[in-house]
Amino acid sequence: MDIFLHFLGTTAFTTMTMGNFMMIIIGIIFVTLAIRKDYEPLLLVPIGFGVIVGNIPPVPGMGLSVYDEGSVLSYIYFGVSQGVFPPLIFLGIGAMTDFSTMLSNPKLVLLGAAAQIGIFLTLLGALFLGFTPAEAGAIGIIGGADGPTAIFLSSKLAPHLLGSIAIAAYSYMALVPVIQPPVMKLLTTREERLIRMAPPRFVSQREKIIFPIAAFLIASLIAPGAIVLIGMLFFGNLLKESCVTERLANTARNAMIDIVTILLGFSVGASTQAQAFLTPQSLLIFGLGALSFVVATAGGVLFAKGMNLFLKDKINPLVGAAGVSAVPDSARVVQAMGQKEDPHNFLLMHAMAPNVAGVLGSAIGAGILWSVLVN
Amino acid sequence: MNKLNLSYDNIIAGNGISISITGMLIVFAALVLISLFIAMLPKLLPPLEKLFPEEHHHGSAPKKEKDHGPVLAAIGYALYCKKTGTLPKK
Repeated sequence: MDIFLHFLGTTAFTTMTMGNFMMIIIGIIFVTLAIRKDYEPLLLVPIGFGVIVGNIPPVPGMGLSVYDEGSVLSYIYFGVSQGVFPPLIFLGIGAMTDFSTMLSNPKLVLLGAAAQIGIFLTLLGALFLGFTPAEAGAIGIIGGADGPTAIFLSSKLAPHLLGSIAIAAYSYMALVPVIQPPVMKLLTTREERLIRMAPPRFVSQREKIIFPIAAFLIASLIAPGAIVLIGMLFFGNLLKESCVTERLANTARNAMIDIVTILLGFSVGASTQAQAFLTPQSLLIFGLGALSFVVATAGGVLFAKGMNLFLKDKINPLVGAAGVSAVPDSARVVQAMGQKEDPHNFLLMHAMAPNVAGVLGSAIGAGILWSVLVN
Repeated sequence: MNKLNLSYDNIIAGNGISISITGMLIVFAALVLISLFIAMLPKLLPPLEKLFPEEHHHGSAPKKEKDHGPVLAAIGYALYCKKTGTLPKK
């Protein structure tokens, strides 16, 4: 009987807090949104289930949670806390990204730069609210709309905020189809949304092979802090475009990225124990995150409108919204918005150019913030 | 962050404005340079093609077989003429 009573004392029912219960509900909502609404299921299912797992109160003395030294989950979480997983995800992204549309229309690269204003205005907002500069930098990168970059930078600048930042970044990435359209509609006229863009030119294989090497050199010489992310991105792309390492490219873009996504999503979710996650800081981070996505979208759209003042071949300003690096969701949103106005207007290929440029821009932005704020 | 402390002084104390402006300028500089490189790439390719012709590359498409169409047509015509006795005499 004593053993039974002792066992009852270790069950999670006795140690469960209201916070844990709320987080489990949030985890279930994530899983439900992923399954029923198809919002980023590859991310929200592992994260959502991880949230549920992470909020079962651990038994004292047993190494169970991601924060317990030597626990299985802590070893998986090591890839997140030390910034190992994000570069591996970038390798896979590089191996699946086709830079042709960007190579065929280089001026669209600037839209990927313009949308990064979300990062730097959010940094100002976070500083205004009283976060330290390092914390503000880690929060600001949510505006880059790039989950792996956000995790990488927060693991370097503000590890204690990693869970909140990662969840905010991935939640808003999943909500891109909800957040972006009202901003895009508000900032453009119907005539602008109807603009048709010239089809992209043919890009030779040789251009595609030279590009990752040259672009890596340019980006990393300017912002060496971005070497890890940009290097892996372009290495993956070179594997794809060289045509002689097809097996490696295949592994990077399929099996490897899937394994890393599972481990990253699950362990990030499991790191959101209510005691560490349900804080006023997390609420502020979520607020700033939403603001950063809105600012980034507006930055891209307004910059496209500005460019149109000087261009003969006009850009559809909706394409500017794809400057946030949520690949390929924001490009899909642009396509959907464009087709709502004109079912025969195909903007997806054009939108992929600022979209992949946005990935470069946010990684470079992360490299800059890391170099400036690391001390 | 220990407690909520809304103040513009935090931005000034954290060098927020200079970090933001410098950061944005560097991101733009990097992507403008990449954009310029991409724009120049088609002009760089022809001289490169002379140095390293595409067929020497590992991953390039297999070398196209020479087109023997005209020669085959001439042989075919000659055989036809011989068979029908219309081969021109010397």
